[in-house]
Order: sequence, then C-alpha cells, then structure tokens
Amino acid sequence: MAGLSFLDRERSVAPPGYSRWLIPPAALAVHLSIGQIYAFSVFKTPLVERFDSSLTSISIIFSISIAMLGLSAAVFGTWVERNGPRKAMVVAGLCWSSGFVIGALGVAVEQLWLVYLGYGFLGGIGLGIGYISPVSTLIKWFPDRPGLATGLAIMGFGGGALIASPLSNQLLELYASEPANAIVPAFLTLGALYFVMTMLGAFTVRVPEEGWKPEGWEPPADDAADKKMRTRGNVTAANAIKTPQFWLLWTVLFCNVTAGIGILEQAAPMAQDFFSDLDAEAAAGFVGLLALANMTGRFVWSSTSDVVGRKPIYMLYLGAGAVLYFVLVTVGASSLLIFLLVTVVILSFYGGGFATIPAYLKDLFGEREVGAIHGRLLTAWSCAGVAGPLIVNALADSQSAAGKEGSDLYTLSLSIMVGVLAVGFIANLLVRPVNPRFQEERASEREPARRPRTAPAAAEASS
Amino acid sequence: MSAAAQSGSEEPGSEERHERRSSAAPLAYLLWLIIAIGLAYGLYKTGSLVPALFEN
Repeated sequence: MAGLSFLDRERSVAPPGYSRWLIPPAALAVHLSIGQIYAFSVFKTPLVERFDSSLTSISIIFSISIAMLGLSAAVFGTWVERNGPRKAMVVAGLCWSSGFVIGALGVAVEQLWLVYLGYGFLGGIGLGIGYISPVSTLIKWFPDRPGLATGLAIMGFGGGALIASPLSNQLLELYASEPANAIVPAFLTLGALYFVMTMLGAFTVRVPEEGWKPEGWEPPADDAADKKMRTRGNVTAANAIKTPQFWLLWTVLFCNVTAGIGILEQAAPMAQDFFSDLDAEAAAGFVGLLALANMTGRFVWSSTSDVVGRKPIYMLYLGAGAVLYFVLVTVGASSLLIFLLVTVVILSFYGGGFATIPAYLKDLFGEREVGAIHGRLLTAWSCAGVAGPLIVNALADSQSAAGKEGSDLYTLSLSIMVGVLAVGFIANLLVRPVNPRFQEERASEREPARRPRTAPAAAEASS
Repeated sequence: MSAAAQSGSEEPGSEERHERRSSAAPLAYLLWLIIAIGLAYGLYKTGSLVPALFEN
C-alpha cells in the first residue's frame, strides 16, 4: 500500500503560514455530499413504483443508511483519528459513491437487496466516516472558535439536502418521462458528482503541525477555562466512554435529536393535520422552511456557543425547546404564524444540537481524540432516528384509531417530547468537568507548568 | 511546539514533509466557489417553495 502513502496524515501537514480558512471548504465539500441522505425521500415514490413494493420496504434503505452512519462512526472513529482526514475522506467518498453505483445496479436489475447493500450498507459506512472525518481537524485549526468551525462543516450536512432535493427532482425529470425509469442515471450522476466533490475535499484538507495555534491566541487561563468547563488535558476515546460525562452527553444528544426528528420526519402531514386548508404545495414550503432553519441553526447556535459556553447553549436547546413543544401542543393549532415560528425555532435547536456537540466534547475531553469520541457518541443519533419517528408515527396512528383528528393526533406525542427534552435538560445540568484521572499524560506535559487544569473539587464531584 | 510552527518560518527539511502551499490553495478557492453556487441554487429552489405557505 506504499502507493497510497500520499493519503497519510504525515503527507497532509500544512506548511507554516497556511491559512486555516482554506480548511472549511474541504469539510463542507464532504458534508454537502453526504447530506444528500436527507433528500432520499425524493426517490421514495419512484422506487416504490420501480420495485412494485411497499413504502416500508423502500424506507428500510434510509433506515439502514442511518443505522450504519452511527455504527461506522463509532467503529471507525479511532481509525479516522489515526489516519487523518485525507484518507478518511477518500474512503468515505469511495463508499458513498460506490453506494450509488451498486444501488443503481440494484434498480437496473430490480434487486432490492442490492439497493440495501449499496446505498444502505456501503453508503451508510461512507456517511459515518465522512461525517466525522473533518471534525477533529477543524477543531485543531480553530481552537479559539471550535463551535464556529464545526458549525460551518456540519451546516453542510443540513445544506446537502437543500441542494440534493431540487437537483434530484430535476435529474428525474431530465432522464425519463417517468421518474421510476430515471432512477438509474440519476443515481449514477449523483454518485459521480459526490465522488468528485469528496475527492476535491480530500486533496484540499490539511492538518496543522503538532502544537500549532492561531497567531496571537493563547489558551484561556485556568480560571476562565474552568468557568466554561474547558479542559487542557486529553482523554482517549477508550477512557471517554468510561466517564459519566460521555453518557450524559449521549443522553443529551439522544433527547435533542429524538425531539427534532419527530417533527422533521412528519413535517408535511403534520402541517396539514394542524391546518386543513394547507395544500401539498404549501406543505412542501413548510418542509423547505424547516430545512433552512435546520441548516442555519447549525451555524448560528454553534458559533454562539463559543461565546456563551456549551452547557448554557444546551440548556437553551433543551429547556426552551421543551417550552416551545408545550406551546405547540397548547396553542400551536390556533395560529399558522405561531405554528411556524415555534417549529422553525425547534428545528434550529435540532441543528444546533448536532453542530455544537463536537465542541462540547472538545471542551470536556480535549482535542486529541475528539473525532473518535464524537464517532462513538453518534450512536445516540442512530437510536434517536428510530425512537423519534416511532413515537410520533405510532402515537398518531393510535390516536387516529381512537377517533381523533387534526392537531389532536399529535397532542400525546408532542407532550412526550416535552418530557424527553426535560430528561435531556437534566442530563445536561449534571455535566461536570471530567475527573483528571481519565486524562492521559504525555511526556511533554509532565513539567510542572502543565499540571491538570480541571477544577479538582468539581471533578471529584462528577466521578 | 517548534518555534518555527509558532512563528511561521520554514524549518530545515520541512519541505519534505509539507506539500506545497500552492497545490492546495487554488483547489480550496475553487471549492469555496462551487459550494457558494451549490448553496445559492439550493436556497433559491427551496426558498421559492416557502411563499406558497403564506398564500393559504
């Protein structure tokens, strides 16, 4: 494999004076590509027609992808950390694009299992590796503003659907009169496009030299660092999962995603159930509005967390989120404006929760293995991806069977979301600095000036 | 941390480990451009759906 040494971390070290603003486009290129997964629904109806199968059979493709995203991020997190972003991006791009090609083959020969294998399984691995590949690198380039950096990249995942959704519709119209006959060339086109984009990202990305820091920036003094729970030590991924902080953040992410995905997955029918005079076009407008809120929230809230701190911003996402869900249940159906405002803010919190979590991890566990720790934490996303839609859909069905209609279909499920967010709020409240005994000690850090920076009293209280 | 890394000066032999800056910068600018065009396209297409929501 010597021929592939140009992909090694050592070969992608930036030269002195390299502008760190050349890194975000590499991260964005990958996240905008893999963000296509959120536009998969565009292909649902054509795939149902092509395979003459149920919607459930086709929905499994998306479920496999999301499940593989969490699993592969957890399994390959340490590998990504060790091999660097370039190799990870190349592997992610290959998996993601091959997923489209194998999926196209499955559609061409009408073998659904090939689509499960390609777009679902292989593509899902590409999603997981691609999602975490730039995170650690960005945090190292932006130690002064990690929330802004990861918000910028993860905003791409939300923006990916914004581009892929209209693009996929145009491709389906372009290649055949019947969308079901246009899936194969559309998949191949998207696969080729995303391959080029991810490779451009891979060959643009650079890692900073060991010990690099922005000109004129100094790590915050001990007191300032302690106030915002920012550690200067590093915890390995293997150690991180042994800490209560990891599992508290896992709960926080799970609750935040469960609540948001419950609305996101059911957006169009929910809007029409709340307001019966909304037609399909207006419902599509609502979905578009939520996509914009989801994308914008990732950048805006994550950047804000650099100023106000990670713990307070999650108190806002979860606390204000619970209040907004309560408003939705009680007065949401009385006014379209209130309904829109509330759901837009909830979805911006949903996006913000995704984008801020890497910076929160960096604060608590240090930057050394933040990518690998982030990968393990993303299993919360996979679980929430199942729990959120299940709560909303199953309860809406049962309420419908009980004779309820309109916004009453969602009263119970949205009330449960208030409780879910309250659980997340409490979990976030319990987060304290990590006990220094979990931190690894490097030889270079053994001089007296580099003693552990975490507040001992608070750290002891957390262990 | 090396003094060179902090000051931005070149370390002897470091060119063996570093790729030339010029090889990445144009690619990065090209990517910024492609991303801006892509996002503008997505925002325009998705944004054009939103007015229908307020016409009801």
